[in-house]
Amino acid sequence: MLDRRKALKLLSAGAAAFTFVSAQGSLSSIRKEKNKKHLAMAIDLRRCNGCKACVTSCGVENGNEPDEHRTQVVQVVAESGDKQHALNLPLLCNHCEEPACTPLCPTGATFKREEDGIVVVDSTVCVGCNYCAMACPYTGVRFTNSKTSTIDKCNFCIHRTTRNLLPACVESCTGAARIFGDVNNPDSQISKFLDENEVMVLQSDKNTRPNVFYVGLSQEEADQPYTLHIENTWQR
Amino acid sequence: MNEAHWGLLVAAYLFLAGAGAGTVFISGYYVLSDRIKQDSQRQLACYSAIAGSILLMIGTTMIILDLTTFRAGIVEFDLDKFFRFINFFKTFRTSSIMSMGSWLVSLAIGASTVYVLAFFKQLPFHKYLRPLAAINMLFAIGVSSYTAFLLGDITHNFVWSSSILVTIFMISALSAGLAVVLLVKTIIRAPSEPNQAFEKVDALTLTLELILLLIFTYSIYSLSGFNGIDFPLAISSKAGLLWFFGVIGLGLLIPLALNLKAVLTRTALSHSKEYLLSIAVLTGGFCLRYAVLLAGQYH
Repeated sequence: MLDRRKALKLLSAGAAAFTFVSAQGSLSSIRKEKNKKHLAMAIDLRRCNGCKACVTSCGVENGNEPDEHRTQVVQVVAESGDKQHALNLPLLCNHCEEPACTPLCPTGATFKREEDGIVVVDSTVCVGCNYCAMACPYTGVRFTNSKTSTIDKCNFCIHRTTRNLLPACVESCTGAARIFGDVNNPDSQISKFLDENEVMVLQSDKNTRPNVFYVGLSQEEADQPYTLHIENTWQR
Repeated sequence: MNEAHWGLLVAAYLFLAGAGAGTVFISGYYVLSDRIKQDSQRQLACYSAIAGSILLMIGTTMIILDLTTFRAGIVEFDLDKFFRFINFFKTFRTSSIMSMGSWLVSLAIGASTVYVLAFFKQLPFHKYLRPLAAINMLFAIGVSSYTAFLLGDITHNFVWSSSILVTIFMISALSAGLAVVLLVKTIIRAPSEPNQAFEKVDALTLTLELILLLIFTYSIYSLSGFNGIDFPLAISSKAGLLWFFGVIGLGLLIPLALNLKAVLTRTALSHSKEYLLSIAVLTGGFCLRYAVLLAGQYH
């Protein structure tokens, strides 16, 4: 007879398989155009120590005010068996393959770059209507930049990555938890990492096919909505 | 952190655009049904068209005021930011409801302005009053439904993407339009319709709106349970308070009671009750948009 414990085990095994399939499906569809550069980020939660060097370096690199974050590390409660522990979860724009924000932008200020797949906001065109922020299912990855008065978000440090440098958060990560590169280059560190690990994307049910991959999240944790707008124990 | 948020100004835009469209629609109906053969009805149709146009213009001003660049342009005396809203009209994006809506509302304002001018016999537009009324009625349908499509296009949001919301916003625009026309009628002291016709139409519209709102409330209640989040229209929340007291109580039940009493007793509403009814419906219409906006930002 199938007792509750067995049923839960089966369910969780099925859920894990589903997640792996869904994230791998997203990855394989991204890799279809092999000759095209396709930038993505992988975050190895096993190596994130929650130091927030990424948050600090991002703010300094992009000249944002101390309370305006393009990336943030939120602490969530995770469960391992009967025990609970704190999980450091870095969040940022997912640079989705099917972004919800870009088609809705009324001025075309938010768009996905053909050459590398980065989703950017042109602050000289953005009017600040906040429609993209409402459209994005990943709540809180955008904010209003107090200097430009327009929507701001992570752009994978486009000024650095176009010169083949790493984004500030990747370069400064003390645990080497953030891995960045071209997923269509089989020799890149991220390609090898994604091939060797079971990866997750956040809220795969939204069908946006994110380009930020996580290692170390359970299905249930990946399906949760997270936001950068939380009270943090400390700020930059 | 400057979290992106839609608040009072966006709610005012959605409401005023809907109320303006509803008012222009009813004015157009007066013209096309030849009611304007009577001077008093012609005056009512003309003033209603003016009121509708003004509401559309004020509503559009509200959404421009909500733009963070526009506000920064005023505070920082920065002309580039001040005029950034022109970017809406530098492109036409079929993938963006807001882009299409910007053009639609602008054209509706232009069309309603020409329509208002057509009421004046000395102007050349006058001979086109009927076709202009028809065109403006079509624009009114477009604008009133657009305000719901604007929210509905955010498909991951189960409150805003509810398919019934388009019908609710359109019916609410019509009832708000009726309230504005009633307000105009009371102000200019135009004679009441025979056989409480106005009250009957208003009661029917409000009843239909009430039924739709109850269906919407139940569907949001079910979906919130399905999504594992708190009911966003719970009475303990700001959205819930606005919803149950502002929209259903003040905006629907009180006006409905006034209308039904007038219909059943076959007596015309007094001027003071007409004012009360109009203000209650309009307040309810605003609360409806604000509550839906707040409920949709449930995170």
